[in-house]
Amino acid sequence: MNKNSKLWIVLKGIIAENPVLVLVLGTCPVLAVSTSIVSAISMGIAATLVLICSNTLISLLRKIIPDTVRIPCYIVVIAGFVTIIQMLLQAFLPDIYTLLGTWLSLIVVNCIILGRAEMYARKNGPLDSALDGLGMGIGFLVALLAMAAIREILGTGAINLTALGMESITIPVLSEYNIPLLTSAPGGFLVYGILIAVVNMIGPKKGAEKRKNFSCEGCPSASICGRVSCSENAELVSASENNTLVENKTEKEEA
Amino acid sequence: MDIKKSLKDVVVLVAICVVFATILAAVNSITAPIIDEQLADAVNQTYEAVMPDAEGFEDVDLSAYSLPATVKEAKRETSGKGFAVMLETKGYDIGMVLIVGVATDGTVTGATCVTSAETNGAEKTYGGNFAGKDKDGVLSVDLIAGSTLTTSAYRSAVVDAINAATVLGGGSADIRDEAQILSDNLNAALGLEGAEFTKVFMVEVVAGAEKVYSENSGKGYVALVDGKYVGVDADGNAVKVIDAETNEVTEGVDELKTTATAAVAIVAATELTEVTYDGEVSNKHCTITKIEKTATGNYVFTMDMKGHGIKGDKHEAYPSGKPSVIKLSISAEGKVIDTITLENNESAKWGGPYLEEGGFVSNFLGKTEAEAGDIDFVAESTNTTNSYKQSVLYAFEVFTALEGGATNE
Repeated sequence: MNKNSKLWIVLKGIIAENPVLVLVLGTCPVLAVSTSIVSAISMGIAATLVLICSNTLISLLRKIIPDTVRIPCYIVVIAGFVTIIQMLLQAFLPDIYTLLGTWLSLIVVNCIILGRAEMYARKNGPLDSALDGLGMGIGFLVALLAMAAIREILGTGAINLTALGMESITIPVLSEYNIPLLTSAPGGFLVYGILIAVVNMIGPKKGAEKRKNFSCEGCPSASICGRVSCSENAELVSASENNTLVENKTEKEEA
Repeated sequence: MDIKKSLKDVVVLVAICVVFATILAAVNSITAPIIDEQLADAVNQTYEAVMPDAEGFEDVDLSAYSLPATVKEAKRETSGKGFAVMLETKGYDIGMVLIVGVATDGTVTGATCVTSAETNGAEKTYGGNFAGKDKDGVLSVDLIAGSTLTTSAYRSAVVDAINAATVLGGGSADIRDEAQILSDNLNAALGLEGAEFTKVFMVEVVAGAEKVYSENSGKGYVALVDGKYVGVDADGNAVKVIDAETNEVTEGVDELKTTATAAVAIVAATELTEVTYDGEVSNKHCTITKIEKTATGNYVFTMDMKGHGIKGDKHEAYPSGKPSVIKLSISAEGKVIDTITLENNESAKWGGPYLEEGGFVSNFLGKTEAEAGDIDFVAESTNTTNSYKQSVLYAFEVFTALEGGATNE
């Protein structure tokens, strides 16, 4: 697939650069909220909306916002959208608002959102940024949903839908022979680890090789990293026996 | 510094803030009324939950009534079946908001905890214990072990709700708290009004008197004898006897007066002499800062107790940065007469309450050294209570040395 196509921008967030299972970002809310399918979907949708809106607005303002105050500006934009969604949920979907609790507010500090603003939206147009937000949001949602489905169904043997005003679905056999550990924090880490392992296994490339394909755009440490890109990391390491990484970077730029 | 660039930074950031503040204000103007309505519905549902037979509720203006301080809001059942009262009280931690339904006959129709910041969670289900009970029934509801402060506060709040409903219904009720009741009893026993009293730290064994209070300006004492408060004036004459339950003067209690005057005479005549001790006065749990002795051979030890913060053999840190100051008296026969905490520097959440009167420290009253050694410290406040116990035992050790006996070492 053409890596500059609009479809790829969306798809890469869902599969190749899934923020949760590949980039391992936003781990805290993922572990906390993935105890129930309903809360996972709600959190995923809320984060996706914030991602799309903040990416789009930050992209539109990218030429106006000075570099020196870009992070405070991004935080104001993200916090603004999160607060709007919070107020709307409290007014119109109070059960979901209660279900998500403090994690809803904490979307403000979700590193996926700030990371995409910093790595993508400030360098690309509004449409691409919106699509990137959509892809990353769906990727976040899919990962959350996968974790929640495993933890809730295997952990409790039921699907709790009371927050939607519906009766819970009890799953035969599993309701009697469930694994309560999965609903606890250790169970969350266990499922998360297994999912990451599965994604690594079925991914196009494995282990260290796969890391070579990472672009700086998906890396939260890019702004403080002295490397040109992760794909050139191996090359840099072999060439830097006597030189620092920064010197290598300068040499490459000069070349 | 580039002023122009800095100015641009400020302008952009402020502009973004202003735009978002405007957008948020607009969204809030749409959602706020809906949210308020939902909260009001939730509160109404809670009121209905504590009074299931209610046909409706109407607000009551509380400013016209003298009600317990815990009462924050009350609603009258429209058909006259009673009142639903909202109360705010403090238990173990930050506190809790309760709603209690009270029928016109003074029985509780239901109680629930609306919000709470208590730690144990017992308050969430505790309300079910009160349904159908009157004030006496409420007071007989058992507290939950491990959540004593929370459930005690809950129970008191339910009593406050019953009292409030009685007052709102046109009746009269005693809405005083425990401190106020004690103060009123002490004042009544001496025939005073608004006087302040201090509990006397006992250094002599006084037969019959459970506690003695002194009036702060020297007008006399009040002794608690057999559940009655007996006032004794500065000249040593008994004034009045007040029943602790009813706060009424009880006649024909000469024996009580005799006991009280004898007790007060002993207390008033007590003199302490500072004792010099050349031996070791400090261990890892405490430091004895002062030793005093009465003419009858009783000792009073004032000690710095190193409670919370014990790690291994050292006390490394205190919540307040300093130890608590405790005082205890030991009779010549080798029994603890009284204990008092002069300065409580333990954690307010954990060890602190155990050093207060009626807490862990009261377990040592009347105990010998061997009996004090058998007292278990409190699991959730190990450092404080263990240090207190070890401090008492250390005082006994010094007491034995002072009396010419061998120390435990």
